[in-house]
Amino acid sequence: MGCLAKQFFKPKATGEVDLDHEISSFFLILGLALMGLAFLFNTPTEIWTGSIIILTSPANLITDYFALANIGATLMNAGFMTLTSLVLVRVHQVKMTGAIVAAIFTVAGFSFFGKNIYNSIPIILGVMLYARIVRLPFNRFVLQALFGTALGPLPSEITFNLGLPLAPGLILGFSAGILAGLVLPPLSAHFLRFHQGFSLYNIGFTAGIVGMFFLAVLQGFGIEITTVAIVSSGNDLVLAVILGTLFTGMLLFGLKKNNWRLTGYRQFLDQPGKLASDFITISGAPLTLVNMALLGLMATAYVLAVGGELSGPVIGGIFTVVGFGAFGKHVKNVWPILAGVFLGNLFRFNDLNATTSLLAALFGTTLAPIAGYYGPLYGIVAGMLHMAMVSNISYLHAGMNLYNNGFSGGFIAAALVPLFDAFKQVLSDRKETRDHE
Amino acid sequence: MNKEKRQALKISSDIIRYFLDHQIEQLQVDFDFSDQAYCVTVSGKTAEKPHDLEQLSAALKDGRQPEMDEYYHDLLGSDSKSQDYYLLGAMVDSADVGYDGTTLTVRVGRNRSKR
Repeated sequence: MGCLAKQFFKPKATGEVDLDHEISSFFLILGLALMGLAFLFNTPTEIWTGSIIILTSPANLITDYFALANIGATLMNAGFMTLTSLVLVRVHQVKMTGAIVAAIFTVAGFSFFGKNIYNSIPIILGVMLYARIVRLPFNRFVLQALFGTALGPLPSEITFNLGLPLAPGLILGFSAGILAGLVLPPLSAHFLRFHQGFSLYNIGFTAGIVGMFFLAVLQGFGIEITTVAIVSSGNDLVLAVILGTLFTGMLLFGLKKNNWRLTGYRQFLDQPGKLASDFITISGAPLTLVNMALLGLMATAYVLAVGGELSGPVIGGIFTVVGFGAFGKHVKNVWPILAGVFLGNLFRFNDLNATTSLLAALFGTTLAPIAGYYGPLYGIVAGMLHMAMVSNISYLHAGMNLYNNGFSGGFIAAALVPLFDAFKQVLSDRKETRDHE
Repeated sequence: MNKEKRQALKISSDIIRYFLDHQIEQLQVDFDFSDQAYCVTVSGKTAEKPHDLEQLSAALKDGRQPEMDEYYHDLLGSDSKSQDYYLLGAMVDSADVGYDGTTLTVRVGRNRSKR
């Protein structure tokens, strides 16, 4: 025991066990609900056929499973991936923190456009292999495993889009996925220093770098991979009702657990949200749930207000914003980023309601900590720059990194944080000099 | 320097940062590093109890989170911009924060063999 006196230890409280159970129940209900909703849209045969199409697609950006297969199969995929993530977390006895909530929501969201069980398994196995090599339990790397499935299109692309026979395609695709998963944990920890925790989708940056290397190797063999644009439209009403019901339900449940009050939410909003801000630990689960619900309503309202379509990728973006409502995002640090992307589009970077613009707005909130830490004006600048940047980097990995906005966000944060620091220091020095005079 | 020692250095640095942020600039640092565990104790004189001492104490006593530990440990350290200490709390197994009217003492412990 050494210097650790016995009375020092804080045993796991009963409340924590209950909280783990409650959060697990929430994801169980969410997963089952998504799977159940699938049958409102399609017959079991259509869902089965659509699922096969999803599992055997290259899946790189932007492949909207609504358009590629059908809504039922997509919801089934999202529900199944939610439950798979939950099982992974529970089996390995990982505490239900804000980071885990964000990770499961992110997996669920990206299962509308790019992730599926086939292309996620090799990445997770790669992370497991890394844990074995460094002789540490896998539960220490669950976050990297879940977020790391951003590279799902890599195995899918190699298996199903290079024209290889099935067996060699499977072996090569799986091996590439395992290799990607193997390098993610050390790289993701290292790249945190690049942006100092100011980009919440850190794995997105890491996966962008890894995807870039894989693309270079594939191109070295004369293989061309390009981004695609398979996007659905025309399902707004029914999907808005589903999302509205989900987020309203979360809001009411959170408020009920918080005794129908918003006590503490002002302090909640004062948090910068920089990595690693676990809102569940800091502010409690009820207020965090309220925050997640408000973010979901805000993100959905933004999409509809600018005339956007609730396509699979856009719903994925909304889910990810909601998930990170437990791990760094709140309405106060998110709105400046949305405003920045909005203004960027007014300068004709792109159409406001184009899918890429909507994704830039939703996933651009990876930079929310900049707004939270430095202030809203700085957040608006970050959002505008992000809008310009994100459209110009996906070719580096040919859409094999699903978190392309996280890739862009890493660069933006790394460039802006030292500049903002220097600027604020100058302002502070001048103020001090004036006060002294 | 091995990984665990680097980690210990960052933990120490984050605690010292708390003292410096509260204008406590005369510090005593005690470092006890053994095969199984290590403890860092930092103490300093201050006439006023830091206004956020309870928050610090709560953050440090929330219990170690192995998955946060392995991923986010590089965000700890002297150049950290964190305004709370929850990440530090996620890295330690034990903590004791005390103020006796003149001296502030923060002690944290981390079990090296935790697997």
